[in-house]
Amino acid sequence: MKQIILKSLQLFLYSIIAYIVLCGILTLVHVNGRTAASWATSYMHGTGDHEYCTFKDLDTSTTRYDYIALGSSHAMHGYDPRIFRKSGYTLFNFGSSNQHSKISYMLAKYYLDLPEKPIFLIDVYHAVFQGEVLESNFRFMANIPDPAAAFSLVRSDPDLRLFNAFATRLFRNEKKPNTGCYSYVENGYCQNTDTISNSLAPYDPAPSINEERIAMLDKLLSLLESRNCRYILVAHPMTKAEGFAGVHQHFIKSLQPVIDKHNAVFIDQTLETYLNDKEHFYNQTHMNQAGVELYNARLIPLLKETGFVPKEK
Amino acid sequence: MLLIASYYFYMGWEPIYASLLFLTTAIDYVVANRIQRTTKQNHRKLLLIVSICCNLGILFYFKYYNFFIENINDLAGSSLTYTRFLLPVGVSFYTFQEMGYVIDVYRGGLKAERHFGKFALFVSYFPQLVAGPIERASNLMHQLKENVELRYENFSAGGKKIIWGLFKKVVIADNLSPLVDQVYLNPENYSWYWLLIATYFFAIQIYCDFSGYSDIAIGVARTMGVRLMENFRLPYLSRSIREFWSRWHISLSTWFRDYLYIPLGGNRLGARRTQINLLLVFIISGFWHGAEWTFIIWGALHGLYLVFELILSKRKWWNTYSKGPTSWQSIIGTFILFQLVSFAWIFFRADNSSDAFTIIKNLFTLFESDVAPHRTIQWLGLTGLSFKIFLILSLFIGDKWIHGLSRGEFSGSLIHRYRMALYAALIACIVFLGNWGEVQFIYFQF
Repeated sequence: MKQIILKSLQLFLYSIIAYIVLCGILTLVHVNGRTAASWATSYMHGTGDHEYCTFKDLDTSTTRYDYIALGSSHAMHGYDPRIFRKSGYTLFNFGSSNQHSKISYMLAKYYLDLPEKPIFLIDVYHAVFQGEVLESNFRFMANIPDPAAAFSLVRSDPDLRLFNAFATRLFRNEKKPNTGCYSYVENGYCQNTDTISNSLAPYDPAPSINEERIAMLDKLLSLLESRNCRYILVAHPMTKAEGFAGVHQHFIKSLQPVIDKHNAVFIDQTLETYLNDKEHFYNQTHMNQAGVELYNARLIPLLKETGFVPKEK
Repeated sequence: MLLIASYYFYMGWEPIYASLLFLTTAIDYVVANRIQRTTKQNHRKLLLIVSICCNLGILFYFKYYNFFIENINDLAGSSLTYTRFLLPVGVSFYTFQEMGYVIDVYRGGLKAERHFGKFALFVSYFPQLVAGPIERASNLMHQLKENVELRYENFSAGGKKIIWGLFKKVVIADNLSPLVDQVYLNPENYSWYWLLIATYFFAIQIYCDFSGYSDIAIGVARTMGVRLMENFRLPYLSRSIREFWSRWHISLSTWFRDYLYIPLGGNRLGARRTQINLLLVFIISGFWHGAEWTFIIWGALHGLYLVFELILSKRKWWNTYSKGPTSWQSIIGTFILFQLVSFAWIFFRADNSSDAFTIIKNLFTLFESDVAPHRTIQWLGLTGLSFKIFLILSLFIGDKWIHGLSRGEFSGSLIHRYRMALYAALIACIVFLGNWGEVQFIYFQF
């Protein structure tokens, strides 16, 4: 028994050394502009892309923001700061691919405690309340400047891959990002001008909603309330794919207890029909720039109507 | 204690199916003991038939019923209803293990176990319950009766097996799976070279997935002092199909040999009958894997390969080749074998036979697609692809080293001296390079 314990401990120590060496090599060696780690694994993101540009913009910005948008790619591609500016409002878009409520909470906690107390536009979309998608965690892990915030990503979703992504941060010494910000415009917003060319896929009638994600939304709203920040839940129009209305209603039913608890206002445009599938979307679930212009033009008056405008304006 | 742990492990998936496991165990326990006590040959035979019918009946109902209903509905235009039961995990493995036991008792080669708990443990022993190896009672039963003793030698040997099995599964198989899955999801959208890469990758993926699981099972049992049978011995280094099947899924191929091929007459009833027996056994083996025509075709292909090899074996040059090939002959032989086996894997992996034939057609006509590959594949690029090929090479080197080390080879060499560092490096790779997403073991579905 003694030999088993001693040898196991020895192997454990050797493994830690081997892990550090492997992690260091794969992070420091770059192949074709990316870290070897991002080639060697299917999940590791190198620095760059829109999250990198978003943090860079936020860190260098001196603007006082009226609105902060949070949410998945629906938010990132759905709330254009240029359109808001034309109406006299400043907006920073903190949407990101597959950003679920845990990530939104972490961003709000570490990055968005702003003195101007902006109004939070929290975009809700059923798909990011399902399953265990970690894409957003990896993207932020690679790009988020604050190590404490990065570590909170590991704590919030205990997963070996996230731990590995965090370990690679400790070795990183990059002068420039691995990848560019392809569709990035400004203030966190990314635009897409494509249109849909293929047919729409039908939806699974009853998606399972992850209760933990709902609970995190509840926690996010509580955090904002504790900071005296106003917030509003928003959802943009969607394509008219078969079965979607049922999916959305099922999702809203799961969301309703949180809405009721916080007495939250929800501008739900999901089933509105003023957008055309072929002209205003670049794929089944995302609006293109033409769609965003129409949606934002409708949303801003609705924000005024519901009183969700900056008090001084 | 082990029995409770085994049932608890099994119930972790779908508790109700533990009752099915218990039912087959109870039936085979009673039948085997009755067979032993009965001297009348007719009664013994009848009891054996009862056991086989029960096991195959359960297998048929849960695994094959919908397949037959679907085909009857298609052929007759009828609308017979399907069963809605999920396929119980490991049902193909434990029913075959139990049938093997009852047949051994019937043949007189084994004494029926009197202690129900010990027999139940033999059937449900958790390391190999869900995906084998399909154990023989003559090997496993007596080991399970001994007290579990934690010894360093067993712990070390078992631990090494588990590490290598995990490496094969999470580092190699699961890193190849995203590309294979994407290509095989919509094969018509991919050019011939992607189809070729995906097929070769699948050949490696299924080996690493299944042999990885077997190694983990064998390793876990070994830490408790139980030696399960080896299930794989570097099968892709074989030089003939016959050799391949003596190294691939050994517990299943020897099961079919002992309990089906030999009772059918084996090779004792002339050349034609041997060929028919081979074909039949491999078609049934394909069907054992899954209730789809693709699996039947996969099995039939291997049967045909073996029949062809049997015909070749009458040639003088083949005898020279199979007894002592030169290095070049070995390389060419291994290369051809890998092509043949990979070709058959197309049917095994494709979602349906139509997809399989599309893949074959597009491969042989060098089809070029103008549809952009899925972003998983675009993101991979040539560099990512090279990394995966590097992983595959590490498999062949690692397999040789690990097998050598476990047989006590390389003593005094660098590998032997630094074997602790080698296993530490493997653990680091498992943690860092493993694809820890939701990837299942392929053989769990069988």
